[in-house]
Amino acid sequence: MSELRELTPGQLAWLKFRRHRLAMIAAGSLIFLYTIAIFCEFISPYTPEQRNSRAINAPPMDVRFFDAEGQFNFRPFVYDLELTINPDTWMREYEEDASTAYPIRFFTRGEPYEFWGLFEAERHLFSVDPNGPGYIHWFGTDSLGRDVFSRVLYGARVSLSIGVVGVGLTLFLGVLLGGFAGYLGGIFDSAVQRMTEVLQSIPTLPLWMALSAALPAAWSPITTYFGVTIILSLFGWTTLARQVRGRFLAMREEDFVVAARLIGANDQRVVFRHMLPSFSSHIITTATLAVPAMILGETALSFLGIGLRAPVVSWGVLLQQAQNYQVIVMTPWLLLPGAFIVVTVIAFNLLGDGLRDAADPYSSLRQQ
Amino acid sequence: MRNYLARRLLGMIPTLAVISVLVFIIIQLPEGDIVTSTLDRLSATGVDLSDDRIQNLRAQYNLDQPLPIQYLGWIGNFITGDMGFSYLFARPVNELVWERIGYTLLITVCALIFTWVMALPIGIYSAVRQYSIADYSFTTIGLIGLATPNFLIALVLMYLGYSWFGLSFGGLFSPEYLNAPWSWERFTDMLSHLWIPVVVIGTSGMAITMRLMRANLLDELKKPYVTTARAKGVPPLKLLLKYPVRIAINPFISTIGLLLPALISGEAIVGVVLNLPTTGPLLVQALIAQDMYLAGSLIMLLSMLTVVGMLLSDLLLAWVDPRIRYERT
Amino acid sequence: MTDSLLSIRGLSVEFKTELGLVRALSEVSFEVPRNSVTAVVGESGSGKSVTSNAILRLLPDTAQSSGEIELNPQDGEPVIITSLDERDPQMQNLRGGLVSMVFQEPMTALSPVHRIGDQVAEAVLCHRDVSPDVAWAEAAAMLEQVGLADAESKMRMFPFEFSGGMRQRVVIAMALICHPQLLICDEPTTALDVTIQAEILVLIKSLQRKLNNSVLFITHDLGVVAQIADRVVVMYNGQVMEIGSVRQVLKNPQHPYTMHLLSSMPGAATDFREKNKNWSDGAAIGAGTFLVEADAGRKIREFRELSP
Repeated sequence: MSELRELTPGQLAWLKFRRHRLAMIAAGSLIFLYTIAIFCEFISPYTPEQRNSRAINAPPMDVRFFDAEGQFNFRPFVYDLELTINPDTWMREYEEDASTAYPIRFFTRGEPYEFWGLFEAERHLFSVDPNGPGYIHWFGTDSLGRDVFSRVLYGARVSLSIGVVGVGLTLFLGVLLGGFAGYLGGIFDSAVQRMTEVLQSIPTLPLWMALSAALPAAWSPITTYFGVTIILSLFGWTTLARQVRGRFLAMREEDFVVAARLIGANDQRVVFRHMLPSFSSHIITTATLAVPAMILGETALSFLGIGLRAPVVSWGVLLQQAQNYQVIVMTPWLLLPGAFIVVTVIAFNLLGDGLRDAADPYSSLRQQ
Repeated sequence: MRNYLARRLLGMIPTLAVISVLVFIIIQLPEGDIVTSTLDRLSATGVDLSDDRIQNLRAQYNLDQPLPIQYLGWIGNFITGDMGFSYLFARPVNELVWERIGYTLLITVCALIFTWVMALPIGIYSAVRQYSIADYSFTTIGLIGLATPNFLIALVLMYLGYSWFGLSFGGLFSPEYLNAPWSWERFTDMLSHLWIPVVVIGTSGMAITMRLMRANLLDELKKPYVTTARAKGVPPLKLLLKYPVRIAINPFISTIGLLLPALISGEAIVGVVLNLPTTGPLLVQALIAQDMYLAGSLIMLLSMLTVVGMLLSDLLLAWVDPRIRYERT
Repeated sequence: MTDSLLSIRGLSVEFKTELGLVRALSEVSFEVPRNSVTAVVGESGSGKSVTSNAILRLLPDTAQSSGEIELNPQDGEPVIITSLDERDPQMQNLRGGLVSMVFQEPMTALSPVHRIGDQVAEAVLCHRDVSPDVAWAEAAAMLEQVGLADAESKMRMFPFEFSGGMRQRVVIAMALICHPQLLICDEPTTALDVTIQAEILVLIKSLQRKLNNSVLFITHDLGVVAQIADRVVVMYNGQVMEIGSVRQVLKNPQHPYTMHLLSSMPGAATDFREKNKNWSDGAAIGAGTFLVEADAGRKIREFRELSP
């Protein structure tokens, strides 16, 4: 017989969440991605605008432990790339030159950067000998010789944060409008309802496109960033507002709320002590599931060239380089930021599923 | 039923009115207006207009009037079928839009059908064989489809098509039929290109539809009426299709309304990547060049398409689900 | 070989859960005689409904059953239901043909999007090779018989336009339309108002006399048992406690649990308790301990669910 103990709803939810193996993996990957995004200046070997004129459109370089003779090296290394111009197509072609190896060094001095815009630093997590002729481009380079790996990391900061900031705004608008609509009812309710209906019947992307295209080109990158975020959340609140309103209306009639009223709890107490806690978990879940929509929205806009613009680096901006047919065929590694988008969105979806199951007080532990 | 139809038709009017105001605001958003931008371009070529001419031009576009009057003028013209003039293409917006919106509609409807034809059977199968290997694989594929932006699918498809088959996707016609008059050959040529955007746009909706169908059917399968029908001796397959599937499908008819804006959005961006003769690329070009009459008209038309689509889906739902028909008449 | 319509012999059912196998029925055996009403009575969780669902093989896939259920129809070969495959045409024929069922929840037992007439007539079409018109006419006749006035026009309506009592009549008509030899009623009146309950009970009883079939009546309500049953099977915790004629079981219960059940009935039972003062104390203690033990078991199960 197991020890009898009582669990708080929070403990129970955590217990249920831990059982959701996929959600745990997703949470782990998101923590990993966000950590990278936070420390991108340090982790990336180069700065996003740094150009390597000797490696233009260079393919991803393999990080190796075994050399050409099959000998194991404890320190990983990359081979030098040899550039040839194809006489038929006049295209650059790179080939690994097994005679020159550049071992990877950690905490190397490199291009100076401003960490979080606060202080100067020049240490990078890894690179090859900065004084030698070697270079390391794990994900290859673009047409200006910029390191794709570093740019993906810098892009992560913008793309991942836009999701969270945007959802924060969405939550604020959705809970506020939906809550008031459900609570006040009457004219305000019908106004919000109509607004929601109208906004939901407009295809969002064209509308986002129109609004962000109207952002003045003269705006600074940071203002544009917030402008795009606001535009994205301006139309995202409808779903959440609908749900919050629905829950409010349904819950007003629920026995436990009626019971709370009957024992004399005032409005404020009923709303904050009884109603909000019982759907805060629901809100958190919805918010988690809304992040991917934001990230995908930013990506789509930037990809079309009317969201964030260079010199801002986001995954969408990076993919914009790969818009051209020729580019995809010649330098398919420029599609790599796309893989990060896919992984992030999947992770958020799985996390949201896990949270939903964990937060539902009626789901049993039995569901895995 | 007739009352319901009339009420729904009347209900569309305020929705469309609000949308039109929104669109008008969007048109007004960029600094300057059509006259100032025309003047800019003229002065760039060394032509300077007299103040009188400028005033005339402004009056021609109602720009000397207060905004509400300008709005009424714009929407009045729009309703009577005059969508203004695109300076970007130096052609009336009407011409530009009509030669493209048909393709948008065609691709969107095909994508919708594709989504359903693929997703509903898969969803049914997943629900009936819950937790089977097939169920897990479909769920995984669906999740990946959901997480991959449309344009990325298009890009990857383009890359794979080239590196595996040496094919170049893109466009809706082979070069030789691009400007040819309509003929059977041109039509089949279009069909051979059409499936790519349809598959690409349909994929994202497929994932959602699949998951919804699975969840709905799982709910329905637990309902007592299924047991009643089983106890009545209805053969299993007939039972599945006639009762739970029939009822689980109903909500999908109403999701046309939600799917349609998503598909039209998807079409806008995939159109750019695949270089389709649809409204999407036109809209992007118009927005980048701030050709606001063109952009505004396009958004207005796309929204109207969605609203009408939603109306059709509601009518369809009322037709198949007696509960709704009776509640609302 | 007995002459009972239905014999259940040593029926055990277990459900697979992640906590291991949970036993719902153990070694249940009883008979349903011809042309009579047999009531299965017990509190919730006693396995009444599992028993009735097992007869028509309506248990979920997670159930594993052993034992034998034999149906011995009036004019046919005996069938061992438990040996039939779910997809066996004989099983389809049995369901709704020889044996049919009325359910607890009339509000949800009918498909919301099909017309009443279609749902009743479908039962005919599933079992006999007749034209839809004939099936429709038979359905109308049956609906009149269960007391639905103006059946022809009602058949064109949808379930949501009906009250609970009317829907239950429809479900009964649907169950009886193929003249089954055994009608299983799984708490058919529980979800209904008291006045409607009485009407439905009278209806079931009178139709049983008229159609000369057998009824297996599942209920938790001893009052209903007294009103309708000829024989009673008392179940508790997946086991049969006592079997006997309604008179014997209600007046002179043998098993302590039955005594406890009877003494827990309000109203009529006070009187009963007075009369049987001499044994009801002891019985209460016996059955009481029984209950406490069972409750403890349930508690343990619940706590296991909470801890990882």
